This record gives sequence, structure tokens and C-alpha cells, in this order.
Amino acid sequence: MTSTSPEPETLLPMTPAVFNILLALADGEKHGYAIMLEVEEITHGTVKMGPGTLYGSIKRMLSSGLIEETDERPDPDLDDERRRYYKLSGLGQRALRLEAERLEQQVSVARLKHVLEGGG
Amino acid sequence: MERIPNEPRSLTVSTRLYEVLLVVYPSEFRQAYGGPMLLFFRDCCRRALSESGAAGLLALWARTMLDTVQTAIEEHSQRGVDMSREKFIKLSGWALMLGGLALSLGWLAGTRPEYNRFNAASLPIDRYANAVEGPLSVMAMSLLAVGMIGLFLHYGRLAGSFGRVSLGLGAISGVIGAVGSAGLAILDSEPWWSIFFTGMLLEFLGLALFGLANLRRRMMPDWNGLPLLAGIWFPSYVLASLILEAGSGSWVQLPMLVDLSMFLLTTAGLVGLGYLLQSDPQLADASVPAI
Repeated sequence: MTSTSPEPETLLPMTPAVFNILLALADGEKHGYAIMLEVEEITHGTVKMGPGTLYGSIKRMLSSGLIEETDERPDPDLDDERRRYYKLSGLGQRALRLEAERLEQQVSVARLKHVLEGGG
Repeated sequence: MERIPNEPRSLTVSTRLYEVLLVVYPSEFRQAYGGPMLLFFRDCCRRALSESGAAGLLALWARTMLDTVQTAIEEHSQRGVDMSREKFIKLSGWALMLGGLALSLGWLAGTRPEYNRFNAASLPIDRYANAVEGPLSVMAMSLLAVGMIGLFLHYGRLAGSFGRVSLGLGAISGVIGAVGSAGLAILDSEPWWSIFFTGMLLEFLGLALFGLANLRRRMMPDWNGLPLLAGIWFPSYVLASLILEAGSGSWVQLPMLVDLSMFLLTTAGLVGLGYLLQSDPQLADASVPAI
């Protein structure tokens, strides 16, 4: 059977959790806690993911092929070897780019409508 | 999880408590992610303690409890949805097989002459054949509608936009055809016949168009020509009849051998397709869960 992966367009729009996790993995593989720290940083602390939210999202993202678990395990002397590391798949990279473009278009519309002007 | 020397007692207790709390998740989820979740929570506890002390740890626990309740419900309901979806797709494969057989049997029953006990040409078999034609037709159309919905659920997300629209057309038309066949069985009238015929025509047209998409994408483990084989004959038959009618000015009844060939080829395609659908080893992997 020829392996078929879904079109990245079918995975849009993403939930904020999925988008933030993909964004956290955009610059390299990370384990769960490192992903959470990165998400907190890029959202200026507004998004705090609990373990259930993070690993529930990771499970679904692995199923849909957006991310992959890496074979690499940390040195047992430096870190807990039970940690799992994740990285973006090719599909994940394409889907992330498309979602970022989609959000950019929406922000452009918001700019055109002067939504971002003034303090409200 | 082992206690690390010089680790604060509150950290050890929190980690142990969270380990117990993990029991609320489905066992498969716990087995797959319980270990990493525990490590994650311990890291969060350590950070909360170092940044804000006991108050930070309490705040973390409040957030974690909320997160655990929400996501445990999600995981349990997601598991239920996945299982019922997979089960439905497998059952829809059987529906396609039985629907295909019922379609041919219904046609065979319908080709019997009207039973008349005063007519020496009437055979005893006609009495039963005439009686079961309507129910067989309703059964065939209903089962095929279920089968088309199963195909849509299984292949819809992988079929591309053309294949997806084709499958959607087939599934919706299948339901319309089933409703039409039931109406026709109860009230033998022209509007119900039109609904039945149009539904059936569009159902097979949708299946044939999906078959074309499948030839390009090759979504099935084997026999990728089956959807086209199952779907092409009825629309072709109608098209040939319309062309002949346009030429002669009146509806031309095609020879019975053509009818028979069309129904048998369609049934062969449907039975093969149904077999593939209910036995597809990729069933769980091919369905892409919502994220």
C-alpha cells in the first residue's frame, strides 16, 4: 500500500495548543517540559499547559503525523532517560507554515479594519 | 518514581500524589504517557517551589487538578468516539457486501413476471419473488447508504477535495435513494420512483467519481479499481439508455443480458469493496483524529 498522509490544509485551523507546540518545536527537538517552557515564553506566560493538555495534544499530533518521536535518549547521567523527545515532521512543518500564513492574513484584515489602532 | 536525595518532601509527596491521580486516564493513555507526564509534573513542582514556595506549589496543584479533570474526560470520550467510529466503518463494509447482494437479488425478483394464479405461465417462485422485491430494494438501498457513509468516514480525509466531494455526493444520495425506495415500497407512485432513481443514480455516480480519485491516490491496501468497478455500471447504463432514447424517441429497454451483467458487475464490485473496508488493517491508522 502506498502510504498516504493527510493534506496539511485538512488539519487547519489548529487549536492554540497544537499551534504553540508546533511553534515550540520549530527550532529543534524538545521534551515535554521544554516544550511547555517554550510555549510559556512565546505567549508571554498567557498559555500554561498542564501535563494532560500537553500529552493529550502530543498524542493526537503523533497520530496525525504532525510530529515524530525521536530515537534519541538523554545521557542517564545528565537527565532522566525516560524523557521523550519530539520533533516536527515534514507534514508538521508544512501545516505550521500554512497556519501561520492563515493567522497573518487574519491580522492583515484586522489592520485594514483598524482594529489594532487605539487603546480601546 | 524514586526519591532524589535532598529533594524537598513536598516535592516527593506531590509527585507520588500525581502518580496516583494518573489512574483517572484510560489505561492505554497512561501506559503511553504516564511516565513522561510524571516527569513533567515533577519539573513543574520543582520550578513552582523554587520560584514561589508552598504558595506556588498550591497554585500549580489547582491548575493541574483542573487540567486533569478536563483532559481525562477528553481522553475517555475520544477513546469512545474512536472505537465507535472504527466499529461503524467495519460494519459499513458488511453493509456494502450485503447491500450489493440484495441489489442483485432485488433485480432478479423484479424481473419475474407478475404472479397470477390463473395464468399457467406463472411459476410458484413468482409469488415469492414479487413479494420480496420491494423489501429487498429497501434493504439494498439502506445498506448501500450505510456503506457509502462508512467509505466517506474512512477515506474522506485522504481522498483529496474531488474524492471527498464525490464520496459526500454518494453518501447523501444513498440516503435519499434509501428514503425513496422506502416511499416507493409503501406508496407505489411516480414522485417516490423519481426520488429513488435519482438517489441511486447519484449514489453510484459519486462512487464512480471517488473510484477515479482512488485510482490516482491509491488509498486502499489492494484492488484500487474496485470503487470504479462498483460505481461505473449503473450511470453508464442510464447514459446508454438516454442516448438510445434520444435516437429513437422513446425509452428503449436494454436486453436482459445487459441488465444482468450490469447488476452482477456492480455486485461484484460492492462485495469486494465491502470486504476491503471491513478488513482494512490500516483502519485505525488511516482515520486521522481531530487535533
